[in-house]
Amino acid sequence: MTDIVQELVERTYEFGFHSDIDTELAPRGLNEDVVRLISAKKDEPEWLLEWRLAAYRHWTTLEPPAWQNVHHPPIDFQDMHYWAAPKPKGPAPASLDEVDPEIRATFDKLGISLAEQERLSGVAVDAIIDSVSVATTFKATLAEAGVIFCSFSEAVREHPELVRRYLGSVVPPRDNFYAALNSAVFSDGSFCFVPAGVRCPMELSTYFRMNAAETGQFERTLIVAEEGATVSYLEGCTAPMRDENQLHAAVVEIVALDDSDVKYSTVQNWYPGDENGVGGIFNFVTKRGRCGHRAKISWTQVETGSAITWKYPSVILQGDDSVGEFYSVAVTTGRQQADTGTKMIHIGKNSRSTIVSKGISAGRAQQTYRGLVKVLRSATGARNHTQCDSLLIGSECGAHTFPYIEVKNDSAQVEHEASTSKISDDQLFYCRQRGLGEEDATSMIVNGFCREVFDELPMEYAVEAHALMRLSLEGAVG
Amino acid sequence: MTVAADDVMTEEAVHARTWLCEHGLPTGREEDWRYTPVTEVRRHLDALPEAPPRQREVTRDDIDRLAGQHGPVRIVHVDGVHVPALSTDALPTGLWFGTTHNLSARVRLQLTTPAGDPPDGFEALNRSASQDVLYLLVADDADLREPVHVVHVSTGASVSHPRLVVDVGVGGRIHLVESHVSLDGGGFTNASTTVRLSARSHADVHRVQEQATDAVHVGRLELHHDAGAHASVTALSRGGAISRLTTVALLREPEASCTVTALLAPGIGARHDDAVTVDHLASRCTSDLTVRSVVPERARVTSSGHAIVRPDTVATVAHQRTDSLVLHPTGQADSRPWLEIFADDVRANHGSATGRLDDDALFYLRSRGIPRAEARDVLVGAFARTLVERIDPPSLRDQIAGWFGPEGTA
Amino acid sequence: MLRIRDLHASIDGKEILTGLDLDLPAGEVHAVMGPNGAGKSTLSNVLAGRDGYEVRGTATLDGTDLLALEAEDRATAGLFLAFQYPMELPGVGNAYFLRTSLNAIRRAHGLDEVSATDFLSVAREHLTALDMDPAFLSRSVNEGFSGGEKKRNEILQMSMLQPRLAILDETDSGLDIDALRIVARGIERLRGPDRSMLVITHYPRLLELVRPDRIHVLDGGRIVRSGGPELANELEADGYVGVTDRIPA
Ligand SMILES: Nc1ncnc2c1ncn2[C@@H]1O[C@H](COP(=O)(O)OP(=O)(O)OP(=O)(O)O)[C@@H](O)[C@H]1O
Ligand SMILES: [Mg+2]
Repeated sequence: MTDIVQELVERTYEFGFHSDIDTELAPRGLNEDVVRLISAKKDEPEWLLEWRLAAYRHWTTLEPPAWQNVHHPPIDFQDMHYWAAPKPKGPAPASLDEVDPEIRATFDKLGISLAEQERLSGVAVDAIIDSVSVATTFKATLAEAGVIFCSFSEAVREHPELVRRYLGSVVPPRDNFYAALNSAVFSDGSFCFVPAGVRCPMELSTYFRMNAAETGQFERTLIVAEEGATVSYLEGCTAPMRDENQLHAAVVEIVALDDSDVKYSTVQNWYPGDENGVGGIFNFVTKRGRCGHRAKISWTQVETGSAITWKYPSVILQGDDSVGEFYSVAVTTGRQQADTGTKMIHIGKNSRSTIVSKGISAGRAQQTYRGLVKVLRSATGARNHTQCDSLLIGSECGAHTFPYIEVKNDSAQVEHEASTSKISDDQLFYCRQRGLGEEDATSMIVNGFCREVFDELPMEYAVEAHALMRLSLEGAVG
Repeated sequence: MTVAADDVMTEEAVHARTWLCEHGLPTGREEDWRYTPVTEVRRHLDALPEAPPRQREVTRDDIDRLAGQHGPVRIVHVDGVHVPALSTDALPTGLWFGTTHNLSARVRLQLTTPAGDPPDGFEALNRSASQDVLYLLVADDADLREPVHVVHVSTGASVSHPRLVVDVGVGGRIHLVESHVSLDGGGFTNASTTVRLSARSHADVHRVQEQATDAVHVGRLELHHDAGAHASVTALSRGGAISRLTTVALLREPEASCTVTALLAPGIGARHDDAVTVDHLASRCTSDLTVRSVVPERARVTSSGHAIVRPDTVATVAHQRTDSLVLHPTGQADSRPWLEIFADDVRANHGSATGRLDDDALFYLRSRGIPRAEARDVLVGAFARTLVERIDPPSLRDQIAGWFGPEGTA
Repeated sequence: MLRIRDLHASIDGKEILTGLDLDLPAGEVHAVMGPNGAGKSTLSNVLAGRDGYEVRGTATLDGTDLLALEAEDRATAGLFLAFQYPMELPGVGNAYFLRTSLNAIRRAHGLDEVSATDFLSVAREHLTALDMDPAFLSRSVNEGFSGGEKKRNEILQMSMLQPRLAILDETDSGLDIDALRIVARGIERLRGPDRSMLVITHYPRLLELVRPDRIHVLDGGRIVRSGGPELANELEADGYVGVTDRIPA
């Protein structure tokens, strides 16, 4: 096992290439002028500028949160660029074929060639490189169904009334330090609107990727499912290798009106830093959804990347009979730190939630599950089941489980189960007796451990998640 | 040893007081105190006078009535002051008892180990303000199976800081029953008990908190384990408008183990906050925590369990289980079962369940002709029974069973 | 085929195998019997390469030094152990597990991997032959299986993997009468001129169904007696005390 741990610690980041696209940078630092610059660059309406400025002013009164179980040097928010956009070489591309070949190559390396995606998988991809959406496919098919899926900037231009109605309605700009920051400086992101009664005809997918050095990435994603609508949304993230830490502070809001069903899946594979803990992404994300009556929001995440991850995809179960789900696999190796989990806030009657969290910690990584299940007095008949398991690989890592359970209604049933252990020597021996090498055996057992969560992923992602897990544990497993 | 007892005490008290001046009492913003209504606790504390020694006469009958009779040895502490007249004279061999005022050389030796910083403001307050600390020493290999009953009485609307230190020698064994009771209501008790377990020793501690319904109780029970020592703690809490009990077990050496069982049964409208931390600092330590709470009308019970497994330890086993039974729509139950693990050779788990009485079971009993209220009592008794049954001595078991109505032990 | 000489094994300083000799020629089935705690499972584990034992002596399979190989390399060399207590692997599909195992062994022999579809059809045949419900394939390995089902699953794996040397550690324990026949049939099906089997058991019943070529009595970490199939009856009649010079405790 010691060899394994050694190799695990030494695993290298496969996606660490860096595309050479000219970037346009805002001056370093953050002040009202930078906020105005971002807004002006994007030709935004006055109300949005005011919204940003209000968020900015509030942000200046806040201190960065310190309660997470992660350690990093203080972040100098004045020493970062808040805007970076790829400069188009010549006029904007009229079709996918005209997209900058460098950008296309970047996607190819990520294994998500747009053309491929378009032709083979039928997935609509809204690709984002450093904040600006460069290509959106499948618009036509989606438009036919009445689904709007576009970059956030485009949504601001084309559907300002929708954006204005829902922006900040689930994660208010004052929600927390990073949400306020994001609200002030968000660059781009995705917008998705599925009208009443519509089942979105395809999986919607966005790949985020950070590129320029020292640029924080602040996407804003807003998903609105009207009454009875159904949509499945995928988000994949990778970032190139960098020595400096890059900050990523995204906000995702989901509005699930009555009887709607929203599934949000993430595979996050940002650069985790090197074996000495140099570089890597700080991933401080606010994700939250609100359910109407009988609505359902399901978060599935596979988190293998980032130097530090800090995120709690949450569901406010406001409607009666609403359903919230959180399925998570988090892998930390090397010197990664992750503090992740969820909040399920039960307000509606008979609201139900399920939490399945699988954490794998290896090398010298520290991982924390932090979760809140809160049943308010109004939530008669609420149910929650939480299963929270951690697997340790190597003796220098840590796994921590910090749940909070608050029940204010006697008819609620809340159950929580958790376990922490290392990979069992007996299981490893059993697999090896059947001819599997230690690497394969470990990988097989770990994948089995995560099965419940992988089963929640859409097909394309399940395969990717398996591969990613293998990659993450490479060495652990050989 | 040339250090005089009073100097040692003064040193500890002075240190605690200095610390308290610097850090103050908890505010409620600390993670450890977030579920305790600290502001209210502090309001009570500020409003009440410090108890004058032996504020009111307490009789033997009072003690029997309030705390029961649980063993041949009884030691009584009234408002934080030892009362020899109410306490047993004869002690079994192997047991030594003393107070701040009559420390022998033997005890001095134990006490010269300087206490570190107090873990929180209430403990600091207790250390600096307790007037008459009780010391129980168990000799090496002494096997004291008969319970030693320590009774702390709060006589009325004043603040007292009872403090008990138990030191169990190598291979020794003690069965301690510690009762906190009130003669009159309105008091504030800030209690602290420390049990030091030498190698291979064994302590069985039953801590009973049955103070007045309007009392405020803040308690701390700290266990220090040497190699192979085992402690079995049973905390039984019923009294108090506000009750907070902090139990900390420090498994400092290999093969130490502890089981902590808590039964929380607050009265209507009361707030009970039970926090247990087990720190596995050495290899092959095991712990098992079981908490059950019964939450009536307008009451709120919080149960926190925190198992820590330190780096470079092996073969640790840590279990936690919390169950809350909410009896009324206005009852609230919180639980916070934490695991903090820095080593891989671990088997740790926790489970928690919160809910109300099983409707089917209730119906089953009623269909057999048992009236609703009685059926409820039976089921609540059944919920508590698994824990009650383990209580020893039988006299205490019966007393606690009585909390859950006549059917409690049925 | 299998040749063991002066095999010693200890764990945590406690010696469990105390100089064990055994020869198992190709094509033969030998039974190992012995009282609880004699070291039978220890022998299986040591032969299969479980970590944690301190081992001395020699054990060769067709001349290959088994003790020098990693557990998985012993498996690809043709050694199969049916565990006394088969492990549960939550989330790992039975079919997936078995196919991965089969392909690992095939790869080691320079053979092509078996495709998922080919595998399934072969697996179905074996399932039918062993009277097992095909639903077993889609469940997690041994998870939630009854004791007997776990044992049958071991036999299924054995019959799919076609090992050169199979060690069955009390595979007959906990089986109902039908399952016992199935296990016996599995063993019979595998019997062949270039395969050998070591059947560890407490019950003569299995030995009636599978006539072993020889029976060994293991006690105190050594083979204390060996004989033909008739030794089973003698054991049944006189117990280990009667058959060995063991002094009753
Ligand atoms: N890890 C271990 N640590 C200490 N002793 C062990 C260990 N494993 C096995 N033993 C001891 O070694 C002896 C042999 O065990 P083994 O499992 O090989 O017996 P067995 O012959 O298979 O018995 P059974 O018929 O009950 O299966 C027993 O006394 C057992 O307790
Ligand atoms: Mg055995």
